[in-house]
Amino acid sequence: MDTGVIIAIVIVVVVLILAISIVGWWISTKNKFLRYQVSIEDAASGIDVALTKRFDLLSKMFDITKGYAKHEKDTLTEVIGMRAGIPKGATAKDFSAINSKLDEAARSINVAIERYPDLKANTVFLELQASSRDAEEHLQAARRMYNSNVKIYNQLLLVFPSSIVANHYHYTKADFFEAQAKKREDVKMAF
Amino acid sequence: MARDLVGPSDENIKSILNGIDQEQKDKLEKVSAESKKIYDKSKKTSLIAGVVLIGLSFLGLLVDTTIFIVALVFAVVITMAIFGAGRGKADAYFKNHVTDDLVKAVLGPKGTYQANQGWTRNFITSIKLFRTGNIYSTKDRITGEIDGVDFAVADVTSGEKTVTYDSKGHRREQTTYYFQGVVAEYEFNAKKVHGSLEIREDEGGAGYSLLYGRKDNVDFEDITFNKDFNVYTKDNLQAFYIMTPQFIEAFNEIKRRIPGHLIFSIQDGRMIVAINGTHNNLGYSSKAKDASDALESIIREILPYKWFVDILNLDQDFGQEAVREAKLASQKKKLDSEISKAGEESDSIINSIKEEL
Repeated sequence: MDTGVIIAIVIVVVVLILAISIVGWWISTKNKFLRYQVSIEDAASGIDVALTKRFDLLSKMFDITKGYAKHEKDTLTEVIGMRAGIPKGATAKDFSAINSKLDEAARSINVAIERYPDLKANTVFLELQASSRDAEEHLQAARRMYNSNVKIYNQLLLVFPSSIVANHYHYTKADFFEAQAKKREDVKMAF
Repeated sequence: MARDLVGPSDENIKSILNGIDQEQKDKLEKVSAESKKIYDKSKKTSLIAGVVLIGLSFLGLLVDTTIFIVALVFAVVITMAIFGAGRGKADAYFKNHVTDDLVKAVLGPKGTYQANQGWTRNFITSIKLFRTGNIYSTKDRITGEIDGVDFAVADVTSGEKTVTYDSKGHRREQTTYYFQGVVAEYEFNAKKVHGSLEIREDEGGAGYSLLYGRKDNVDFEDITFNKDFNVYTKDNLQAFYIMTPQFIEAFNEIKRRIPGHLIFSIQDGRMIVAINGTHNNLGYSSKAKDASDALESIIREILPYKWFVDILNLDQDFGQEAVREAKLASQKKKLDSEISKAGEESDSIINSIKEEL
């Protein structure tokens, strides 16, 4: 066979291999983005569930404390005002805002516990308090899982060469679920 | 090579020894000293036997070199056997008279020790943390309750002995050990776990995945933890729920202080801790300087199991204790009021009878 033909075949094969590799990489990178988008959505729904559970528990606790805690009435009434729950399609910022309100409500309930020791003998209240602590743990777990996925996703978005795929499909950075560390610390229930 | 566990600080050892009353301490030290006597005696006997037998084996040189070599090997084996038997006797004496008392001193009155008991093969197979083969042995079972948490531990050896024949018909034996270490079980009620969650020190290969099927490894925020451990679960959210930052830090601390390959599994309301490459001695330590030192070495072996409860917060109950106490207080109040009501009623009946009379 002519040398020129052999060189041409080699070039065609190399170009084909390169093209297939690039297409393969492109598809796998796009799938990676999609997988992380699904993981972020899953984690967000975990936050949604945990926030709703926490909201329900705090509302029940409020029902018990309202007889005692007249001074904290305003904050606690605000929790009841949130009965509409978490809006559909809520973003990480919405979650953070709702969580901050719940933290405030939980702090007010804590103040009520300190002021009215009778509450510590109320078994229903104590059970709700224990469940609330568990709900808080679930919420933190969901928040950490969400942020962990967001961190990897955002890194992929910025790092070359995966950033080429991200720019092509106009993927945008996901928001972290910011937790106010100090406030969260205050919410810890004292058993 | 098996290594001893090194766990919590030495301060605890002193406080436990101080907690044992003098009479008991004197008894334990006496038994410990007796074990040392048995051990020293066996050392002396084997030394004399060794000198005599090895001396006799030299007579073989008068006949033939081969006979000398065979006799020498025979002499060494017999000497070792005599020494081993004596050491075993000292160990058994110590275990029968001291270890159970020391387990109670560390774990409280519910603590028990059984030298010849351990985990059943069925239990080890059911937890699926390592392979079990045709070699299986277990011993040194300790049970008890630590800060309200039920606990049990035993030494386990698991392996496979295979016999093959080469083309010439020569028999070849090969032994592979899958696990030589300790397996502990703790009650785990702090959080409800669906299915199981496994935390395994990184094995640097796909051995585990191949053995029990592919599972997802979850990565957490802690780089050191991710490097040292793999976490396997079918529910990532649950993994984050169990593995709080404090829990993760506890595992890093355990890794720093406990030698051996660590495997943890949370399943069915319990936490299983398997440490490969370590073992409990719990018997007489020939390295001990005196009787008191021998007691300390046993306490040092038992304490890490107590330390696990502290560092992993296995006794936390998310306020359930407070709920139980409040329920009890409310029941007591109700009962008191009923008693006082009954008292008042009986007083009024007595008074009315008196009036009628």
